[in-house]
Parts: sequence; C-alpha cells; structure tokens
Amino acid sequence: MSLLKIEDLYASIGDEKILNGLSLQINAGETHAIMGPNGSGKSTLSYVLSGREDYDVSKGSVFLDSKEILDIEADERSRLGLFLAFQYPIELPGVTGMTFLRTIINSSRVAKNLPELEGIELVKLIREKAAELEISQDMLKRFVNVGFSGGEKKRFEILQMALLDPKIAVLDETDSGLDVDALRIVGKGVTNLKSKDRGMLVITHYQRLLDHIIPDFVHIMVKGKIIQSGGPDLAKLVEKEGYKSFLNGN
Amino acid sequence: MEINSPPSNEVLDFCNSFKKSFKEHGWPNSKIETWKMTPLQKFIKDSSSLKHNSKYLLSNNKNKFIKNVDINNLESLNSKYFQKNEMSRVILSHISNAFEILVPKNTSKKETIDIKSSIDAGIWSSSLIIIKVPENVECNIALEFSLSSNSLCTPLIAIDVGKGSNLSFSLSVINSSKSLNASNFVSLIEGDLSENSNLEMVLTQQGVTLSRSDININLNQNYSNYDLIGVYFGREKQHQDITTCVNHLAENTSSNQIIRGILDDNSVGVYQGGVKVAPNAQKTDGRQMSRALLLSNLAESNSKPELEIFADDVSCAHGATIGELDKDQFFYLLSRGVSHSVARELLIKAYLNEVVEEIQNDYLSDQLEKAIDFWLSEFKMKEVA
Amino acid sequence: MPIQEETIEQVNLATSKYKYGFSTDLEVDKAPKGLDENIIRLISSKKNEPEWMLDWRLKAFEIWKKMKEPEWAKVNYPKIDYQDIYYYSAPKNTEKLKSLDEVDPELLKTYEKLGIPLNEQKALAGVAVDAVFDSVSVVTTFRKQLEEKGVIFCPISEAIKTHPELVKKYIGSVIPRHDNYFSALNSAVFTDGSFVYIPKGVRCPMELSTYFRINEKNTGQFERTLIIADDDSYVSYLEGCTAPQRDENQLHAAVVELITHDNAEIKYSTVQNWFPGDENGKGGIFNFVTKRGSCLGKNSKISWTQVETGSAVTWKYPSCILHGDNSVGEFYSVAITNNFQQADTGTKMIHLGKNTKSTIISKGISAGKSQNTYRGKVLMQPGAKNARNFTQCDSLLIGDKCGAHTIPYITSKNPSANIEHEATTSKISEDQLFYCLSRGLSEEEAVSLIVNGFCKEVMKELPMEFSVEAQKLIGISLEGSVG
Repeated sequence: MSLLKIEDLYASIGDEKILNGLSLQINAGETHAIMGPNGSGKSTLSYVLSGREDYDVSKGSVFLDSKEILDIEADERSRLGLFLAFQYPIELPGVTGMTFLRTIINSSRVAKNLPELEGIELVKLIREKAAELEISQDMLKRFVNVGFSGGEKKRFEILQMALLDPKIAVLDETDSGLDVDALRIVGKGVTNLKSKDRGMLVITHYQRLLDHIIPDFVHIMVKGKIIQSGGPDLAKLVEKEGYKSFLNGN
Repeated sequence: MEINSPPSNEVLDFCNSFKKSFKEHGWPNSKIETWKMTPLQKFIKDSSSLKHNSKYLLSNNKNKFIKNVDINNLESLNSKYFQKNEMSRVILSHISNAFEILVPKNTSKKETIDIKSSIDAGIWSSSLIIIKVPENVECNIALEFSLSSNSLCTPLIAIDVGKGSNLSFSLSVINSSKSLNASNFVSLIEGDLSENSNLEMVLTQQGVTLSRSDININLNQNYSNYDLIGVYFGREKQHQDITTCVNHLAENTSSNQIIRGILDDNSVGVYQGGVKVAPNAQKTDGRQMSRALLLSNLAESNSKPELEIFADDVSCAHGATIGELDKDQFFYLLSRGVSHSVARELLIKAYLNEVVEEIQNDYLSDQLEKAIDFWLSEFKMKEVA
Repeated sequence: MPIQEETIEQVNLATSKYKYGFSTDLEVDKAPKGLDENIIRLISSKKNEPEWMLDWRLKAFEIWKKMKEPEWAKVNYPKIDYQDIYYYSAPKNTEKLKSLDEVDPELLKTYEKLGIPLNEQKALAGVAVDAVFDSVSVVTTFRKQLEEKGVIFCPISEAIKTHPELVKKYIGSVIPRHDNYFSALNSAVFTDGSFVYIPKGVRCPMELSTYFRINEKNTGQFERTLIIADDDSYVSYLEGCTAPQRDENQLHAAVVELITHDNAEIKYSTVQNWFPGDENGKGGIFNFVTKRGSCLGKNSKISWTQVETGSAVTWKYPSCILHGDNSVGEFYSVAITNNFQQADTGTKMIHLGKNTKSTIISKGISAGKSQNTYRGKVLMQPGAKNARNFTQCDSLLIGDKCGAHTIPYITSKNPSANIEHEATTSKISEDQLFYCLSRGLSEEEAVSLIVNGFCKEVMKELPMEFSVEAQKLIGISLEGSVG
C-alpha cells in the first residue's frame, strides 16, 4: 500500500492554473525526486500537499496512508505524518528555537497519545538531534530563522523533520541557497532519516542535491504534470542536456 | 506605608490659576488636534458625581524618599508643556494628593521604589507627583495604577533627571477586576533630562475603559537619552492612547520609542508620537517604531508618528505597521502540527517578547513581563470561553 | 490696453535664475478686481455657459462665503485679500479660434520660449497640448487625431457646452464644492482648464498635456481639470506650469478630478515650476490645489507623479479614493524647497474596496531657509479586506536653516489590511559629497547629482519627455543652496 497517493490533481492560484492533472504514488521506504524547470509548479505541489490556503484545488485527491487529506487543515496533516521542509523557511521574531521545538514536539506527541516531554528529557532529545546536523546550542537560543544563514535555515528544517519523525517528508528545493559544505551536511542529515517506514519526496531544480540524497525514482514535471518517470539516470540526463529536450517533447 | 499628602495651601494657591481656567474651559474637547482621535466626552460623562480621594502605597520601606511638595519645585509646572496642555487645568484643579519622590544624593547603591495606587469605585484620584533624581545616581521607580469600575485617575507627573544619572521608570495601568466599565485613566508626564542623563521608561496600559498617557520629554542638554517601550492592550470597547513628544534641544541627544499595541473586540488604539529637533540640536538620533496588531474585525488602530526637524545633521526615522498576525508565520506553525489556538498564542507572545528583549534593565523587563503575563492570562481565559 | 511690464531682455539681465520669469505683452480682456455674484455672472456669461453651470457656481460661492481659510498646514503667508484679485483675464481675440494660424503670434512665441511648441509640425512627438493662458485655454493641438479614436480633449469651458451630460455627471463628484475652502472658491470662479474623456476600450494614442501659464499681474488662476477614463481605457496626462516673475504674490487654486471605471488607468504627471519668489522671499505663487482621483471601477488604477520645485507656498495633496475591488492608487512625489519657499504636500489613500493597494513614495528636499512638510493619510475602511499600503517618505536637509517635517495619519479598521510606513530624515551625506568632489565635480553639480539619485524612484515614474526637464529643474532649484 502506498503511503502517499496523488491522483489527477488540478490546482490554481487566482486565474492561473498551475497543477494540471498530476499523479504520483510513493510507497514506504521509497525516495522520489521531482525535477522540473522554473515555473513548472514544483513549489505549488509542496504547498498544496501541506495545506496552504491560497490555492484552489479544482480536481483530484491526495491520500496519506489511505486517508484523503485535501479537506484537512495544515496542522492536522502534519499530525497525521506529513512534513514539508520549506524552500524559504519563515522567520519567527520573538520565538526562540527552543520554545518553537518544544511546542511542535509536544503537539505531535499529544496527537500520538504520548506524554508531553519537558525539562531534561526534552533538552536531551533536541541536543542529540541538533548535534547530528551540526546545529549549535547558541542557534537554538536565537529567534527561529531570524538572521540565519541559508545553510542554518535548511539544517533547522531537517532538525524539525528529525524530531517530528514524519511518514512522508516533502523537501522543497532544499539545496537552494546552500554552499558545498552545507549541502553535504543537509544531504547526510536527510539520508540518515531514510527508513523503511518513511517515504520521501525531494523537489529540486538541479541534479546536485540528488548526489547526496540518492532517489529510487525520478520524475520530470513540466507545466503542472509529470511527463516522464525513470530511475536515477534520468536526473543525470537532465544534468547533461537540461530541460530543453523535455520541453520540446511536450 | 500609605502616602497621604493632601496639597498644602501653597500648592493650592499655585493651582488657583488652573482652577479658574478649568471653570472657564472644562475638559479638553476633540476640536483640539491632539484630542481628535480620543474623544474624552465619550468616556468621561459625569465626573462631578465622583468623590475626590487619592491613595498611594509604598510597597517597600522607602518612606524616607517621599516628601511633601517643596514650593520651589512647583516651578517645573510652569513649563510650556504643562501650561499649554488642556489636561493640566483638569488635574491641578482637583488634586487630593501631592508628593515628591526625592532620591538621595551621593548614593552609590541603586535604589528601587515601588508605589501602587488603587482607585476604588466612585473615586476620582487626581494627584501631583514630582520625581527628583540628583546628579550621578541610578534608580528604579515603578508606579502601578489599578482601577475599578466607575473610577477616574488623573496623575500629573514631573520628572527631573540630574547630570549623569539613570532613571528606570515604569508606569502601568491595570484593571482591578476582570471586566470594567467607566474606568478612565488620563495622565500627563513631563521629563527633563540634563547632560549625560538617561531616562528609560516602560509604559503598559490595559483593562480600563479609557487610558491615555501623554508624555513630553525634553532632552535639554548634550548627550541625554530617552528610551520608551510602550505597550497597550485593548479589548471590548476600550480605548487606548499613547501620545508622546520628544524634544531634542541639545547636541548629541538620542531617543528611541517603541510602541506595540494589541487590539481585540471593538477596541481602539491611538499612538501619536512626536520627535522634534531644535535648530541647534545637531547630531540628534531620534527613532520611533510603532506596530499595532488587530485581532478582530471591529478593532481600529490609529497612528500618527510625526517628525519636526529644524537641524540638518540628524538621523531620524520612524516606522509604523498595522495588520493582523502574519499569515506565512501562521502557516509555518500549522505545517509543524501546531493547532490554530496555540499558533495564535505563540505568535502574540512572540510579538510582545520582541520588545521585552529590547530592554537591558532587568527591573524594567520584569515590570513589562508582569503586565504581559497578566494580559495573556485574561486573554487565554477569553479564548477558552 | 497693453500693460507695461519689464521686457524679456530686462528679466534675462536680472539676477534671478527663474528662467520662465518673463511676461508677455498682450492685449487683454479683464474683469474688474474683486469677487461678488456679479463677477461670477460675468465669468459665466463670457463663457456663454448654460444656466445650470451658473447656478452650480453661485451655490459654490454661497458655500465659500461661509467657510474659513484653513490654517492647519505648516505654512505662513500674509493674509490674502480676495477682493484684490482679478478673477478673469483673457488674451483678446482668442475666442472661437479655428486653427493655430489665428493664435496671437506673441502667445505662440511665449509657449515656444517655455519649450512647449504648439505648432503641430514642430510639436513633441505624440504629445497633444492644451495651453491655458491666465483664465482661458488658448489652443488645443492634435484634436483631429484624438477625435478619430473618440477621445475628447478640449477646454472644459467648451465641454460644458458640447458634452454637458458628462460634465454634469462628473464635476464635483470626486471633490464636492464644500470639500474645502479653495475647492469652493474654484467651483465658483474657475475660468478654464482641460476636459478629457477616454471612451471604453481605448488606449489614448498619445500623451495629453496641459500647460498653464499665469501672465497677468494680480490675477488668480483657477483652472479646473476633469478626466474620465471609461472601462478598459488608459491615458497618460502631463501638466506643467510657469508664471512670470513678479514682486507680489499670485494665487493659483486649481481643482483636478480624475475618475476611472472598471480596468481603466490614469497616469497623471505634474512638473510644477510656478515662480517661487526671489532669494529674499519676495513674490511667488501661492499654490493651493485640490487634486483627487476616484478609482470607481474594479481593477482600476490612478497614479500621481509630481515634481514640485516652484511656488512660494504649496498646499497640495493629490489623493486616491479606492472604491473598486483590486483598484490601485499610487503617489510618487519630489518636493524641493529652497530660499523662503514653504511646501505642505502629500497624499491621502482611502481604501474602501477589497484587495485595494496603494503605494506612497515621497522625497522631500529642503534647502536655504525653506520649510518642507509631508502630510499624508492612509485609511483602511472596514470593507478594505486584504488591502495593502506601503509608504516610504524620506527627507533630505541641505543647510542648517531649513526644516523638514513628516506628519502621517495612519488608520486601519480592517485586520486583514496591512499598512507599512517608513520615514527617514537625514542630511546630504558628506561621504557622497566628498566622493563627487574628488572626481572633479563642483559642489553644486555634486549636490544636484546626489539629489537626483535620492529622487530616482520617483523620477523613473515620469514620462520620458518630462524626466529630462525635471532633472535639470532639480539642479536649477537647488542653485545657491550650498557653500
């Protein structure tokens, strides 16, 4: 049974149609990559999946663990096990990293009928996961994403993913704004989170991220739908020839 | 210890001219520019039925600092600000308590003076407070006004900070019980700063029907500095007003005014902020930042951050924003599984927390946090209900 | 009777740098000084106006008589004696002109000197001009080409007769007679101005322009402009003004009303260069103008761009009332004051419809002993769901005898509306100045360059034909402000 199933999805913002009949299935343990040129609708897909309100879904359905989620609000989707790593993580002035992580961990634990974590136990858990991603204690004392470098923001996203332990993780352009070293740390962090129970959807423009997070399947998205699917080699082809050949073929 | 210092005959004599003027003109009306956004007559309908009484309690043992008003110090009431302000005549013709807070000279220890005043139902508390800080001392002063329904509180406060001194001053207005009506607070505050002195001020207003603080600061001598953190909370049909004017009158003076408002239900918020730079006040640095958060469809926010500049070598800036909680921030929290109500509370707290972080002085940040917590506890009760 | 005035040559020899300070010797037809019902009747009859227009004027006069001159602006000027002004002055023999050939050659020369050739062959490509001289419109160019598209561009005095249904419907609909003291006065005594109507679906094929000139001594100019853009139309309109250099003050109290229907856009640009008075503060124009646009239709847009360098006293707030959902209001302004000039200018953005958007960019430059005030209002009414405003107002001070003031009023009654306001005041940067000087620029050149840079966000909004002129004007206005 697939963990995430997208069926014939159509979505628009205002008068602009962005997704035009997109279908995709991800099974537990699989990592899928969606590649596409700018404006193909990649980020819209990630927002529609996570439940952002600005989009109109006119047709199609999305099942998470065989539960239809399109009518469910964003917070509920997250508690059901869907995680989105943002392309541009939002700044939260006035909210320290620790307060934020405590709040999200406990919201997720309450949903899973687990007791809330407090004090040393909580701090230990956060520190442990933070260390793996080379996130300093100092960074956790700062306001979320305020004044963070590109690399710090993305590492903080992956830290949240590690703490929430989602069933499906959607990574939206996680490589954007990263230098080589940051890319390596983030790639390693994500790879460590691969598991037989989890599905991952990596959305990217470039192939370089896929050197660090090796996908099982690669899909090419153009004008709001998937036009070709294949193995990791397909990503190499994009790297070599660009999207031109796919665009012409369409 | 209670501070009960009815005005002496000399003080009453001094107030005579204000009494005359009050008889002639009464309360300020909303034709006056600074009262246009705060129509007093809508809130204060029948002040004559109130009894005059003014009680202050000194919470720590600092009675040696409290004195009767020295006739020489009444001079500060002759300032242009007090003479011209329409509220002076209202306050000074009704005072029932008049005292000075005199910080002793040559103390190396940082003194802290906490004063509370409760205004019971049916009472109009009009008072005169003169705060004198001598040269080269540091001190903390907190004034808390707690109002009941059908009460009126009108303090007039004159502050003088001597050369090289630092005064951390907190003024808070709160409600004595949960839901009040006809509880009105209108204050006048003037601060005069000497060379190298520093006035750091935290002002919080909440829970009363009408609250207006009118603050005039004179940076009289070089290198004096004024910082204000003003936070107001409005709910129901409350009206919150912070009106300020900082006069840069000497070189190398600086000021920073940060205002945050939260407006729920049908409440109205007003911020009128002025920075005035005199021709000789070169190298002035004057800043204002006001933000208002609207939590309801019926709330209203008004800002008027004004700059009046007559010197050229200055750096002045103001910013103002009005809006609701940031949608992107809200979505970010939801996408992490945080519920609507928790996300809302977290973002409101964050909005307030940002200004707490601005305060270096622990005593003042404690005062602000206390006021925020008080408001949040009532806010959460409302959200649950 | 020709009026004896200093000649152009004399003016050129004079100390002043105001390049438009000459006056023109013309035979004029003038009404007696002063204002009463008879003068209004006279103006109306000179224009052969229909009865309804006269009634409308007389009602405005009744309103005006009961009003008081406003005092809230940060400007000081000697009391105006409204009985000591000529309310009507017209060059003789200009009525019923059929072609340019009939225009007094003196007049044509005047406009040429101003850089506004009225001769269509020599005219700026793609700009149609309505030239208003004192109280009347003397000529309107390119009328034929515009008529082919259905665009009406004519003096308002003519529109009152030829298109009474449009004038009746829209005049005073944005700025009612009782709006303020000067709009009431204008409504009573306005003598001419431009009328523009762009029909549905038409993109006006050329820029429209009105050029105002006050020539006569002691003459008030009260022009009235009305521009209506019907559904899906577009027009760009330019306005320029000059006046001769005279020792006494002259009054200019104009009213400009703009109306946009669904999906229509009006772009209104002004380069205001009325005589500012001399370096001792003598003379100059009192410029008390009411300009307001109403975005009636959905998705409509009104954009005001102004470069204000002239006038002794300016009192002017081009505003937008955003009725239609998704409508857009813009205000881009440069106001420069030097010597003893005083300017109190800004805008009002009133948001009524959903998703309405406004942008305010104001750059104030004060030099000499001048006072420069930005006064603005942003109001989000309860219906202004998801409305947005962004305001940036910056002031620059040159020298320590001038003043720069910022007075914004910001009100929101809708939580989903978002208002952002930023303002800064600073002096001209020593580092920038030094950098320019070290590259061989004179101090005046350097200041002009830096100020132009400071204003570039506004200048880029000006149509090409105007922006070069405006840049030069900034340099000229600041002459003598340094050193």
